[in-house]
Formats: sequence, structure tokens, C-alpha cells
Amino acid sequence: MHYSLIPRKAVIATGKFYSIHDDTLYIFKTRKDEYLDLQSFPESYSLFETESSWRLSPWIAITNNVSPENLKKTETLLELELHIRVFMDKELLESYFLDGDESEIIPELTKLKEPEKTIIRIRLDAS
Amino acid sequence: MSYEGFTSQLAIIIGCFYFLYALKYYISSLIALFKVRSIKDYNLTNEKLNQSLIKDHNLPFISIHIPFYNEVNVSRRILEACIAIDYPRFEVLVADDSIDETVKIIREQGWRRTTSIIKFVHRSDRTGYKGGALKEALKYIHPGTGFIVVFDADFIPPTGILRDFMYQFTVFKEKYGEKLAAVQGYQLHFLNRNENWLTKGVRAEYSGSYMVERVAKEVSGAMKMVSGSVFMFRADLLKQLGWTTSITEDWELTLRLYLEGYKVAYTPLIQSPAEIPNTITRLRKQRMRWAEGHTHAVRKYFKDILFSSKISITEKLEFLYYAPYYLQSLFFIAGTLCWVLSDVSGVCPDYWNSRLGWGLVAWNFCALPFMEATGLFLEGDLKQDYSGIFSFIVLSFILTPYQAYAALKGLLETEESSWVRTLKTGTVTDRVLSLKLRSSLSLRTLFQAIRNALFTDSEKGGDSDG
Repeated sequence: MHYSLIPRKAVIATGKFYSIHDDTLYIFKTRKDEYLDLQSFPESYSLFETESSWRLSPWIAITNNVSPENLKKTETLLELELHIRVFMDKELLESYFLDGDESEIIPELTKLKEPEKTIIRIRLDAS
Repeated sequence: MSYEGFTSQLAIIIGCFYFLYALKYYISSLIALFKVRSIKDYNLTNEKLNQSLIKDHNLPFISIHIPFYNEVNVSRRILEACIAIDYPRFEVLVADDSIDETVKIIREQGWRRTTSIIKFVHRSDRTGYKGGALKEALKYIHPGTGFIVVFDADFIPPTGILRDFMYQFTVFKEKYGEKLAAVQGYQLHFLNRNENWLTKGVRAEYSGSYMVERVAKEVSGAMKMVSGSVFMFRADLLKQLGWTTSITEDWELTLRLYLEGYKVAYTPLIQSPAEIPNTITRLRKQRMRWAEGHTHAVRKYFKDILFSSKISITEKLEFLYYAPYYLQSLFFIAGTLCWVLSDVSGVCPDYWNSRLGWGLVAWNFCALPFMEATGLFLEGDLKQDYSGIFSFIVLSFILTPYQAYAALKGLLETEESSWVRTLKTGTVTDRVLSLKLRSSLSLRTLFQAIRNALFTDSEKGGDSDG
């Protein structure tokens, strides 16, 4: 069994991220990265389905009114797909949707932030 | 007064009233025939202006707004067309209210991998219908947006359309100055013109409206409408005015814009092809919505428009003419029926006679077909599309009672009905990106052109002098 700690304090500017504000989920990316294909989310999560309200741009996807239960499941899926949870101002993310200007997002990402939790990734070997 | 006497008097009153409409159509046709040249020449001689606009750094950011509601048949087509647009700084903002498979198309990863910026705003309900969706889209435009261009989902914008809009806006700014709010282009309902008799009829109708009627309005300085699609609006003004949730949000926006003292310019030189409703039911529902929403807005703003100091006399006259627009077929049919009844009974006022009566009927009857023939002629399509004019006549008779009912409903009701969408099928019978207009007309060349249109094939897509 191998343990690897993803050091949250060393968040880098390029990558795939997500942020949660109340019941709103922000999934976004910077530079040449690509955020998760939205078809990967099961319909039952009600994230990007007809009955929910959401917005997409090439750099950020925002979905509103996500239930806590679905948020939890979505978080797990995003973490598995190597999206990193970050704490960023709602206004900054909303503004990122409008103009896709990374110049305000990247400095925030490179700032050292207190992690909410440390992820431990475990790989099980047959041996 | 006897019953026959009453019907003959009524026939004359209605006939004379419609005579004014018909007169306007004939005059519009003549204006369009002889002014299309100046519109085209004016643009060609402004090559210098064109050159300055070609420099990309001069061009403002443009946000293209496309409202979607269950557009599974056409959504991919318009998105791909938008991606191909040649313009350095623009975004596409889809205001989506879909509850069908369209959502799956929107979610596709491919839209985020293109070099163009495509944003989607999906609402969980349809509050305010198209106006509501566009209102929502307005919240999410790029902060540096200078202009907003709107297309409906069934349109296929040509690659150069944004540059054309910018060029025309600059041209019209010389005429209107800072009061210019928007430029309306030609909704070229053409893609499925050969699908059936009905689509041929509607194609002819649009040709008369966009190639003749609106050109004449532009030349005469009358009020021009922002027509729901293929228009470019100043972003600052649109944000200030905002969208309303009327079922004819475009017409209401036009009236509010004129009340603020702003103007709309029209040019047939910007064209975007689109499809035509292909069944009577779809067309009937669309026209009933237009008639109801139009009349409702007329009632709402009637006094404000007539007493506004910011609106010119010509614009007010156009508004007055346009107010009972959807009742005009009813006037024609009612007037003609009354005249037939009185003529059969042989009762006629002293100042009138049978020849005058039938002359008036013929004059009124030919006005719209003449305008459509002029439109098709100017587009070089008369020989191919003339049968559409006959289809249009039949269509007018079919639609009249529905339009009249909807217009009266709009006039009397306090609240509008709900929006009935027009299904887009994605059917294409004729691939075309734009039509060429005849470049010059004089009486001599006009007769020659008519002869050619009727007897040879040489005029198809004609850009010749005749």
C-alpha cells in the first residue's frame, strides 16, 4: 500500500479546480487545462440537467441549487478526476465567468491558503 | 338607410382606408426599385471607411446572443456557423431554456475546445419566454462588450456578418449620429423555400417586407423595427433599456427605444439565411403571437408615442400606419365582400359607380403581390419564385381570421397570452449565404431587366446592370 499526500499548500496556477459557495458549485480551469467533461456526471446528481439552472463557458462551469447530498457525491467525483478544491471569492469566480481573465484568478491560486482538509490518496497493490 | 346602402357605404369607407395602405406599398416599391442603387453605391464608395474598419484593433467586442428553446434540430448548425465567424473579438452567448436533448448538445466538451468563446446560460424555467432568456443573457456578457447581435436558433450567420454589421453601423452613424441605437439586417428566410407551397409563399412575403418595405422606410426616415433576429444593438443602450417579457419583445423594445429618442437603421446588405415555418399550424401560431403582442404593445404605448417630442412626424405616421397592421387583411376582405354584396344588389351612392368600386378592389388586391414581385425582382429571383406570390395570396386569406382574432385579443386583454414557439425543423432545400442585389436601375434598365427576368435565365442571382 502506498500513501501519497497532495500538499494543498502547493497549489499551482495551472490546473483544474472547484469551489463551493452555499449551494453553488464552481468548476473551473486555468491555462491550457480542461475541466471535467460534464457528461461524466450522473443524471441523478442534477447538476447540468434541464431542471437545474447552470452556466458554462470554456473556462468555468457554474451550477446552482445543488443539494448537499449531491454536492458531496460531486466532490468525490471531482477529486478523483484531480480537481482541486480552492477557496476563492464568489465575485472573483463570477467575474471569471464573464471575461475568462486569468490574471485575477492565478494570483489567488498561487497564494498559500489554509486547506480545508488534506487528501490522502491510497493505491492498493496486489502484493 | 337600406341594408344594401349601408354595405355599399361601408365598402367604400373600408376600401378607401385600405387604399392608403395599398398606396404606401406601391410607393415603397418604386422607392426600393430606384433607391437600392444608391444604398449599394453609397457603401461601395466608402471604401476608405471600410479599410479603417478592417484593422482588427479598431473593432469593438461583440456579444452574439442566441435564445434556445428545444432546438435539437438546429442548435449544432448555428453554433458551428458562429464558430466560423471571422471577427477578432467576440463571444457567443446561448440563452437556453430547453427541456429536451438540446441540453446534451450544449454539454458536449467540443464547444469548449474551439478557438471561439461560447457561453451557455441555462434556466430551469421559461419565465418571460424569449425576452426573459435574453434578459438573463444580458447579465453575463463580457464586460468590454460594445455591441450585442441577436440571432434566432434557425439562422446561419455568414462568416463576415460581424464585420458587415460594424461597417454598416459606421455608415449609418454618419446619418443618425449618436442617436443610432441599432442596425437591423435582412432575415433571409430562404433555407427551405422549396419545401412546399407555403414556404414559397412566406419566402415571397419576406422578400417584399425586407427588400422593399423596409428599404423604403429607411429612405423616407420612417420608424423601423428591431425584428427579433439579425440585428446589432449598442450594448450600453440595451443594458439601459433592458429586455421586457412581452411575447413580441422586439416590437416593445423598438417602441421604448424611439421614446428615448434613439433610432434604428435598416440595410438589406446584411443578410443571414434562416428557415421558414413549414406547416399552416406553425405559421398560424407564429402570426397569432405576432398579432396579439403587436397590438397589445400598440395599445400600451399609443399615447406616449403620439405625444412624444423625441419622435418625428414621419415616424409617428409610420406608427399610426403600423398600429392596425394585423387587421389590414381583414379590412380588405370585409371591404371587398361588402362591395360584392352592394354591387350584386345594384345599390350604389350617387358619387360612386361600379367601375370605380371594382377598380378600387383591383388596386387594393394587387398592392402586396406587386411589392413582393418587386422584392423578388430586386433579388434576381422573380422568375424562380413568382409562384410564391400566388401562394402568399392564398395564405393571406387563410391567416386573416386568426390574425384578426389575435389582434383584437391583444387590443382588449389586460395580459398577453403565453408564448407559442415556432418549431424549427432544420430542413434545407436551398443553400445560400446571401443574395446579391441589382446594382443599378433606371427606367431603361428596368424594362430590360423585366424582359430578361421573364424570358431568359441570365438574371439568376443578378448583380448586373439590367
